[in-house]
Amino acid sequence: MKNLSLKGLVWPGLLAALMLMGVAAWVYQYSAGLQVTGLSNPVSWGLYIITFAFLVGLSAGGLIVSSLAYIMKNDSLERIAPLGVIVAVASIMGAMAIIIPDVGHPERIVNILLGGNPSSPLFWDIVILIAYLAIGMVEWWILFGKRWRTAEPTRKNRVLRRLAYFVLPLAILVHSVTAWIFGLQVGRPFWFTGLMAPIFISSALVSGLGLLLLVMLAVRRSAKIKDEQFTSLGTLLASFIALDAFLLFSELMTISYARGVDAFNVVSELLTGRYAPFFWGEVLVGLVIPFLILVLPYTRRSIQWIGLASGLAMVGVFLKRMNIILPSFQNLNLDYAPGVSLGRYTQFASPFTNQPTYMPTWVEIMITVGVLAGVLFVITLGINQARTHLKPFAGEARSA
Amino acid sequence: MSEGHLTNTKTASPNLTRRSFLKWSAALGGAAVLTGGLKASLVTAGKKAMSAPLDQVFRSANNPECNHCAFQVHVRDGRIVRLAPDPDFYLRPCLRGYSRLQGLYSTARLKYPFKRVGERGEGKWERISWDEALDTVAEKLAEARDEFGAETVLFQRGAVLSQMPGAMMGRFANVFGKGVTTAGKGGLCCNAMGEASTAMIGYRVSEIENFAFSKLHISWGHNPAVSYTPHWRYMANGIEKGMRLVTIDPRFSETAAKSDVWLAPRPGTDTAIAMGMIKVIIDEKLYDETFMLNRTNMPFLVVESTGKLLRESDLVAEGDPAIFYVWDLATKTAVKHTEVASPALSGSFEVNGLAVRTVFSRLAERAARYDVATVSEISGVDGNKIVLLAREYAASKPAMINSGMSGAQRTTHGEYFVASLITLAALTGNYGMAGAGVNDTAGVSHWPSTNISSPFESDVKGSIPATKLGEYLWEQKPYPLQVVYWQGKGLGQSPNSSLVRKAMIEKIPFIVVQDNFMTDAAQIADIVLPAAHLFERYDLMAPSRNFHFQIMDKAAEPLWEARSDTWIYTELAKRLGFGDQFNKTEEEWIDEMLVKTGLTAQSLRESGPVWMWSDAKYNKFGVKWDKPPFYWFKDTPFTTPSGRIEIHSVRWEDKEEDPMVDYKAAEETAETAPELYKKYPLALVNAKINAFVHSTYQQMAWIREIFPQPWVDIHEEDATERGIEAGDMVEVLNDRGTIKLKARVHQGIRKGVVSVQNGWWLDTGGNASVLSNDSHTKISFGHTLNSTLVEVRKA
Amino acid sequence: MMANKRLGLVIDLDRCIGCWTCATACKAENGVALGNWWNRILNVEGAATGSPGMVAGEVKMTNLPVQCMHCENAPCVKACPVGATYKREDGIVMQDYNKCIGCRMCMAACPYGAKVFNWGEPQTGVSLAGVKLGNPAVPERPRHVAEKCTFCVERVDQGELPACVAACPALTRTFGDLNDPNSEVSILIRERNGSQLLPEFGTDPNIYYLPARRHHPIVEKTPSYGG
Ligand SMILES: Nc1nc2c(c(=O)[nH]1)N[C@H]1C(S)=C(S)[C@@H](COP(=O)(O)OP(=O)(O)OC[C@H]3O[C@@H](n4cnc5c(=O)[nH]c(N)nc54)[C@H](O)[C@@H]3O)O[C@H]1N2
Ligand SMILES: Nc1nc2c(c(=O)[nH]1)N[C@H]1C(S)=C(S)[C@@H](COP(=O)(O)OP(=O)(O)OC[C@H]3O[C@@H](n4cnc5c(=O)[nH]c(N)nc54)[C@H](O)[C@@H]3O)O[C@H]1N2
Ligand code: SF4
Ligand code: SF4
Ligand code: SF4
Ligand code: SF4
Ligand code: SF4
Ligand SMILES: [Mo]
Repeated sequence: MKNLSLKGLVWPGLLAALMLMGVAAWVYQYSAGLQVTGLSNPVSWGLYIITFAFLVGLSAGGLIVSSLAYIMKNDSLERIAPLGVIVAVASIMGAMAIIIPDVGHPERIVNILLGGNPSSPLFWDIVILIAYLAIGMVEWWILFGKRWRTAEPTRKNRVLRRLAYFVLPLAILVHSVTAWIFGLQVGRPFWFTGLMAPIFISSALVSGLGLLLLVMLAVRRSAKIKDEQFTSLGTLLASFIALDAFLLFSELMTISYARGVDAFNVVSELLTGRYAPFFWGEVLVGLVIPFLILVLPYTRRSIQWIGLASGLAMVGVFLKRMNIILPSFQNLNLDYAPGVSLGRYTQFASPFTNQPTYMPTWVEIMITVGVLAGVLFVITLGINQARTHLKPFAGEARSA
Repeated sequence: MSEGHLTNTKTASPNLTRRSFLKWSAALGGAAVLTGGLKASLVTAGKKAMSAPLDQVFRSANNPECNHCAFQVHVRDGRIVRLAPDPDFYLRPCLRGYSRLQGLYSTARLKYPFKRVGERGEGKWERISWDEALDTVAEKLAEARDEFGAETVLFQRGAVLSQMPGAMMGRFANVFGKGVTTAGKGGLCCNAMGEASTAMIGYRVSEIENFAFSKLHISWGHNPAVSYTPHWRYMANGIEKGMRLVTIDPRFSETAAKSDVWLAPRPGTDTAIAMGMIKVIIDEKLYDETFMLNRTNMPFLVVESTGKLLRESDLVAEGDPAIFYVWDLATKTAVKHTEVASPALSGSFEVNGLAVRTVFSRLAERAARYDVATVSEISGVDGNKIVLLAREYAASKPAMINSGMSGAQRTTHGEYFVASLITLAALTGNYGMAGAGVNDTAGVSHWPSTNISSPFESDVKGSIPATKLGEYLWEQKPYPLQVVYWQGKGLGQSPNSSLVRKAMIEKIPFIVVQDNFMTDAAQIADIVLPAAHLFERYDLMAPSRNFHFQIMDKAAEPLWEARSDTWIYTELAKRLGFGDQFNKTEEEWIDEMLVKTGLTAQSLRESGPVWMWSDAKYNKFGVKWDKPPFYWFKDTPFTTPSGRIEIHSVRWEDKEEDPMVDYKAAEETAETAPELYKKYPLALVNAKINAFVHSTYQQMAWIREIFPQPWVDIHEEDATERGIEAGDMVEVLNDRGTIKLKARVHQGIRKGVVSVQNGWWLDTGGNASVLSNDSHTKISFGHTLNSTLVEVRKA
Repeated sequence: MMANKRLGLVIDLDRCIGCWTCATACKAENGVALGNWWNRILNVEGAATGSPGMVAGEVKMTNLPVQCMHCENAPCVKACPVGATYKREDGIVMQDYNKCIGCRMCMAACPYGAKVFNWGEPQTGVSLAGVKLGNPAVPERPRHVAEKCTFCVERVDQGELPACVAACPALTRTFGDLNDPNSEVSILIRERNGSQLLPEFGTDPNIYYLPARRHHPIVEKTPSYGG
């Protein structure tokens, strides 16, 4: 086949290599123990959970957009809807994968399903993730599965459209529950806000659509996607970004206005403290710049600019996840000396701290990169499927 | 502000929200409630023996120079695995006690005999057999004795207060040499306290079990919250009953943090503060005249020309020098102190043409110099607060002054500091009742022991002043030493410790160290002998730092190749041909020491700790108290020549020392050493910390998690002047040496004073003794480490 | 009259001298690994253990022992996905080391930083094989599970006091049933206006603190020996 040329193998080969590296790193971490990560008692979640939240967001975003396409019966959108499914399934697989290196006893994860605790958001998150993955696979199957290959496009779409009515709320739910893992923790003042779910959703839309646009960019010739479509989706992205910015602002404003509340300790960390660079980075890279690109008359029509905006928006959302999760760990409610024990021991050094720090180790980074590579690998796979089985891709295949 | 307040602000806020906590913790109010009873029943609850069916339980006690807390040692499959407070004992152990559990199995323990192979202190060792170790040591000892004389062998031992290690080393040295050398002249601890007590009241006392009976407690140069942790319960009970707590310490100590008042004097000036208080008490007639006339020698007459007490021997030939005179107001004549009807407290008189004056009048004269301005000037403490304190002290009886074996008496004129405290108590009649007096420590040895450590006459020929060990070794005084036998002592505990180390390394041909750990002393030895841990041998804890007899049972065999001190000396004795002098088992030795008390190792094993006052046989005074409170000097006499509190001390008069209290400026201060002061303008004080008892517990992992490294406390202003910020590594130095440690910058220490901690080994770089003044207290050759000047600079 | 027990601890900050004996005894009793502490003593004003600090122009050093609060309304219990952290009838918040998947959700949930984790094989500092220190009834923990103060459940179930309570040399700690109005703990809380730590989180801890107290009218009463 044409797309099995050597050139065609470089990209998947690279991804496969990165994935292998990730697996190797995980095997090492598993034997050496989580002590090879930068995690400690006070900062007990890090890069893995940040990436987890980010990936769940991507998939939710992807699926929300594609479902909207079907529900709104928007023809031009429907053409790229399959890409949304691909993105969603790939990301959710990544999200589930990265939980494994994070938990201490992956072999016991089944306990969650056997004797789950219904009051635990984490329990529900796992349950819904599974359901969500399942339904994503179903869509994937309907789109690319043998059985449907011969089916009439219109019939196919009718089914997908019906499905969309389930998928849309599920997509929103899956990300809300993920948000509640944090938002329900009364002991973490900055997390403990009713806005946590909306904020997660809005940034999910941003990152999800961002990734979708990048994928579209990658396949736009073969998929015969018109530039106007980029522009119209770009405008949609701009409005998502605006929504995201609005929610973020109203949250920070509320806390800063009150000041006296504990959450302000974290907020000031973000605005002026240790996290200022990341936070303002998030605002600039994730909100301001992409927004401008997507609304300014010249750039909003250039697909390259839109691509750039999408990329930046995704980086911004990743930073945002980090800025929500880490500072809350680094601000102890009881920050009196000597603080909390780290869970690490070095002879004649204090195992206590009241100003916890966190820096991911190479092991964490390698494993995370491995998982992200996996996500891209699945996306690539999906696109190949699309190429072979879908109009207009199929058309192109024939013309070859 | 370096001083506390005599008044308190208080508002109690109900809950501890993160934001309100600081406010809340500042609150001193709250309603009074009697929890004494509750606490008591809590103790009974604690009495319930612990149910751990698998474990055998043995009795033991902790043996450093501390409170000797009793332990239940749990053994499982022949291994010591658990420690618990002994429910039959009145105290509960501290964190250090528990840390011994991990310490037993610590990698840092000495497991085998070692022989040095590298340079001294290089840390290169070769493991050797016990036979080789013992043969070598025996050989070297014999050589030294036969070629150079027994006095060229120094036997040095530390503050291990259980009986066996000391007694056995003593016996060994005695039989071996009949005239060896020790560093036994004076000491590092509490000689000033001991000397002044002996000179003025006859012997050392402990009031610690009576804390809770006081209305006022002055913790003077003392930090019981750390140094007597297990006894704090009594302090807390007192506070619960409304006892006021005043702490006098240049450092905001853990005790100061619990106090109503904190006064922060310049180190070494406490006697001036006391003199100021004495003046107030005399001027305002706040003293207890009846007590002074009957129980002190304040009415005694002193000959103006000689400044000595008027004695019978001054008046009639063959007169009794132990008979003194007072002025009888009735007959207007001088009469024997034993026969007087109405003695005069003050006044000048003439006896046989001799101008005489009462001790009290002479005291008043001295005190008169210490007016508010002068006292403020000398001590740096607001004199008005001192006046208030004097009045409060005189007004609240019983009031206790707690100086412990205090930091304040580890200063140049420590004896007079202690004298000033005893004088205060004597003036106010604070003797002979529970909750009064001057507390010395947690217990003292007044039990009828049988000495097993010197079967022969004098075991000591040369005696080196303990504080001058370094100097004497370096200058080879009084003898060029051939062998140092060093048992259980921190090398870094003697002042000017780097000189001690240098002298040992360069001047001593052969060093043997016997300890549980590779201490800073062991690190420079030629042969290291692994002593069994205290739970791995039999020992007796007899009254010294508490008033109980306790058995220390052997709970398990020594780990690895460690052996008990007794075993080691017995084996050496055999090799040196006097094995017949070491023909008993540890338990037999214990029984022999106890003979006069009727107690035995076995009886103690069954009964548990025995209180020294519970039977007349157990104490030298032949008194009996069923339980505290007990009243020193109500049932027990003052064993001074006059049988009274001697404000003018006969003992000191005979020693040609100033017989009565007065303030004398310490060495190494701006006044006495202006040149040195220019170079080193900061006064250094030492603090005992919860981490250690001296150098013991250094290697305990659990302890070092809490106290990882040494530090220096320095006042904000002193720090800023030197560009030092909290957390900086700094050098603390003087002509004796330099140490490097982290700076803790705050206002919890008097400006111009810095503080380091007792106990850090030399190899930590933070050993305080490197800097310590290696002079000695003038009368009793005590430690003067708190009369030390230093400078601090960024490292 | 009252339903079931509610075991609780009262810590008298007036008595506490910050000696860390309770924390060390805890470590010894429960075989807590090096680097982990179930119980620690915070210094409210100072920058380090044993360092004074300033509040409102006054030098201070207030000791605040902190361990698992055994919250009535325990966030950790709600958050644990597998119920490995659960609450007993008597109020003790327990930890099941065999169920725990090591996800550390509970650590994120605990407002007091009371939970610790074994990031590797627990190190005990015992250089001799096969020696297990502490209470034989306390289960050994594998790596990668969360743990915390258990109120010494193994002792309490034997009718003994928690190790830290039995160990505290200053008799700062009183253990008992908060549901019994006549228990020592209840009386202390009532009469000394005891308060919970960080009540703003609504966790309703079963540990109460008594404020330091000074200058109250002097009460003539001699404590019993050992009291
Ligand atoms: N944890 C622990 N407990 C111990 C010991 C230990 O090493 N560690 N050692 C035991 C022994 S052997 C002894 S002797 C006792 C000692 O018990 P303490 O007397 O309590 O011991 P120190 O800490 O030496 O001195 C107490 C205080 O004296 C202050 N100080 C120093 N110089 C002066 C001065 O000139 N004037 C005044 N007013 N205060 C001054 C210091 O700042 C310090 O806070 O503790 C016993 N208990
Ligand atoms: N800088 C400074 N120096 C000081 C002080 C200070 O405050 N600051 N304080 C001074 C005071 S008050 C005193 S009392 C002295 C005390 O100082 P030292 O007399 O040196 O007492 P320790 O340092 O406790 O040394 C006891 C040693 O005995 C060992 N040991 C314990 N049990 C046994 C046993 O059964 N057998 C053997 N063979 N060894 C055993 C321990 O491991 C430890 O090494 O220090 C004085 N030095
Ligand atoms: S170190 Fe002192 S206080 Fe602590 S247990 Fe031993 S004897 Fe008791
Ligand atoms: S043992 Fe008692 S006094 Fe010491 S820190 Fe713990 S609670 Fe406070
Ligand atoms: S203190 Fe923390 S761990 Fe303990 S019960 Fe409350 S939330 Fe759970
Ligand atoms: S770490 Fe263990 S106890 Fe904590 S939440 Fe996860 S499973 Fe539950
Ligand atoms: S109750 Fe037991 S487990 Fe909890 S802190 Fe005290 S000793 Fe440790
Ligand atoms: Mo001492």
